Amino acid sequence: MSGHGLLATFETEAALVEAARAVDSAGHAIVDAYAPYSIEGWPALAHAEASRVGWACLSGGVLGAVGGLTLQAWTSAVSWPLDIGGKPVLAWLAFIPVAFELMVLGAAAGAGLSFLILSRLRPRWRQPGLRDTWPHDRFVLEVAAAGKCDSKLPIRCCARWVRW
Amino acid sequence: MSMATDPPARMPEASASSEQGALTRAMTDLGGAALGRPLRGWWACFAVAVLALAVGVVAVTYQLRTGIGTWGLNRSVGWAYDITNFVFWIGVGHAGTLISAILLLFRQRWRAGVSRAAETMTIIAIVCAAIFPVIHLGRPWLMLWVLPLPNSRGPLWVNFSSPLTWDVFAILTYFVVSLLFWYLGLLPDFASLSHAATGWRRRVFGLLSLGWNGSLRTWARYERTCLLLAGLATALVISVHSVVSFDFAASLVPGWHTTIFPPYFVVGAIFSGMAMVLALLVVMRRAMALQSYVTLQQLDAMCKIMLATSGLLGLAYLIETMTALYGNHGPDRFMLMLRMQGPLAAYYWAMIACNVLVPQLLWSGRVRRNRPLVFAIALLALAGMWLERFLIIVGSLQRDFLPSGWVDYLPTRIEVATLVGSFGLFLVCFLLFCRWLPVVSIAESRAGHRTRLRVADR
Repeated sequence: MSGHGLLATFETEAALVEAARAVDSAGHAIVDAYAPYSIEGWPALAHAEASRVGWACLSGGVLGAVGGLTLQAWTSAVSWPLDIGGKPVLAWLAFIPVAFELMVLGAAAGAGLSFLILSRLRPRWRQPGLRDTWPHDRFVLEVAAAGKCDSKLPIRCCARWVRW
Repeated sequence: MSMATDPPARMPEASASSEQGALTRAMTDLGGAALGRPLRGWWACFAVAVLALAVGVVAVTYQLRTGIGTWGLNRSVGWAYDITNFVFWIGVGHAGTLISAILLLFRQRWRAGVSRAAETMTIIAIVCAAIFPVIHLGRPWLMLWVLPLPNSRGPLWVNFSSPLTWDVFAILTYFVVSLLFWYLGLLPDFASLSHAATGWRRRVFGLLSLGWNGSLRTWARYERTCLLLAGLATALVISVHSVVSFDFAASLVPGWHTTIFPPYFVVGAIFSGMAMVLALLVVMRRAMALQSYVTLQQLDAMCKIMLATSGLLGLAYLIETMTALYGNHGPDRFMLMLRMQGPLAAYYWAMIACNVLVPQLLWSGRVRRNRPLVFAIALLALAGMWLERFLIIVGSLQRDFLPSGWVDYLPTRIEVATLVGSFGLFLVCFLLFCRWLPVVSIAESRAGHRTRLRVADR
């Protein structure tokens, strides 16, 4: 991404939320914010889109369950059906536990992987973005700005124009 | 990349400095162990644990070289020590999932201080459990045969109607989901540690943090993912030990073939797991000076869960007795009498004492606040739960339907050494965790401090 933006650092969560509200009502776009912990109600405040993790979780679960049933039915009844004492080869009831576990596995993998992919998290030698100001004890607000010096932004806290 | 570190133009509010202090303190208190030198006494504990592990490694190596005949297993008691240990360790793991998943869904705030240690315990316990069936295969190098992998033997597939195959899937799923949940929980902490560390630790923690930068968009997605995983893990708490109990309940052996086994196993698992978490936390809290993170209130809550599950377990023992007596089924009644009066009677009554009678002391608040006593009760509960599994497995197999197959079982030294080795493995892994990772979630304790601040403001 290229362009101009503003990083403002705050000492408390309350100050960050207050500034974000002011920036938002003044009509400026909030790019993101960085904090040592999750802030309740932030997505609504920053007009963030709904997360797609839930859908990935559901798809993974469906895939796991259907795949699990198919695997069991195919191996037991198609690939090599074994007649053991006249027992049915398609023993649906006995397939439930494995299908259930594979559903849970698929759903968890869907949720976990989609979270990592959507958040662009992967192992890297050099930490990107706000590496040096990683907010382990402070709160940072990132606001999109039109030019180098947009003096109309309603933030009077410590701030510096950055280019990224 | 520029930094935004100019001094603030105005101080936002009065509570700022205390909030800042709390955020930094969480880091120094909890990250300190991972960034500095090991605590006093750590090496001594580690040496003991490594010694126990070495005993196990020697025993398993000898057994692999010589054959499974080095165990006391015989024709009718084919599942003695190793499956007992397997069920025991899987059960111990369940408390971690209960604390991290079910209590998260129920918004029990006290779990924040104990969840990391409990989740770690879960993962290590699953590993300890998994080694037993693998060794029990006799030829562990063929262990991939338990999975339905394409092969040139037909292809010969696994038997999906067998509870033992269900077990493989249940435990693999349990391990993967627990590991994922645990690692996601560690992500923000890895970033904090990387920021605070220097040298190679900075690099390693940075790699492990996957580039976490505290973005609130990521945080929102993260919370949603954790909630979803908690829901999935909740299903696992119930299902995994139920599937383990099917290994027994789906057979026709007297004492095993009963519908009460799934809930009975799950309750027992949570009971033994809580005992393990309590035993570990009582020691860790003292040794690592975690008094302000693992509070007496949290230990109290865990004691109450132990008490409740002990009551449920007592009920299950009662129903088992009742069914055997009322059901008028000869072999079942014989099995009950065998447990209560036969050669394993001492084990049975010790189990009742450890699992049902002694935990009743926890009704008293004074006992729950007495840490050495809680520690002793927890160790007794662990012993009792181990005995329960031993009784179920060995008791029923010793006296099969055919009296010609009746034998007595005694463990050999190799079996005992393997059990010791599994405890060694558990302790080695747990001590390494205490040494290198924050034992209490840094991010969660920061968030927890925030809520306390808000309450104080009102």
